[in-house]
Amino acid sequence: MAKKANELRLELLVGRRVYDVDHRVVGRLEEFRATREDDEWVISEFDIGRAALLERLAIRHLGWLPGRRPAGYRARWDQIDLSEPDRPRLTVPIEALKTLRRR
Amino acid sequence: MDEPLRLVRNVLDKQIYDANDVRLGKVDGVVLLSRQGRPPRVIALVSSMPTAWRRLSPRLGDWIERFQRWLAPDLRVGTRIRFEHVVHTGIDVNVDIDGTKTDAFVWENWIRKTFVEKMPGGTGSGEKGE
Repeated sequence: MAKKANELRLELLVGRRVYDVDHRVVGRLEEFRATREDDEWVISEFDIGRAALLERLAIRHLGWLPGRRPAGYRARWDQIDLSEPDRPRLTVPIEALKTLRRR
Repeated sequence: MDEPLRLVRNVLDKQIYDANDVRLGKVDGVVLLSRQGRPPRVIALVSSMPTAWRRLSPRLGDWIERFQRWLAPDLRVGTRIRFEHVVHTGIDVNVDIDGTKTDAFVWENWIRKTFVEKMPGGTGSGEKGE
């Protein structure tokens, strides 16, 4: 099946490490949140990190997450650059992302 | 505003049912379209063996695709269903199209015609006494 140049494959992006503007790992891409705009579905947000993984697996209530770092982040579509699908990176400082709530 | 649709949790790897409740396969992939200055658009669901294997190993996926083309060069390798046809997601994914008008069954039909029907008793329905 031929792949067009501007096509992205969600199944290959899931689990990819996301890097911040200083090339440090923020977490892995775990969820893609889509919303309907007129007659098309678009990606509005991405969930990154361990909390997002637990939520995706629907076991968040079991998830005790050690450490002081936030367990996950939610990034708007324009806060992640997917031009290199093997190496997604933030376009903004990590502080600009929404933090996913810890349990 | 509606709750966002979670594509990994509620779409990827889910069973696809057509408008007649016939199973068309699993959602092995989701195609997105990257656009300059606009959010990526969700284009289509993909159900195909190379797509599924490519998640494990891109090289293995490419090999399976080449093998399928070698086996049956005329057959399409996978099924793409435009995302506009998705009417429900969750435990399963329901689409509003007739699966028989897609490429979902080309490999089943090819295997039936090429192998199964050539075996003794291969043309019956499988019922006892046929």
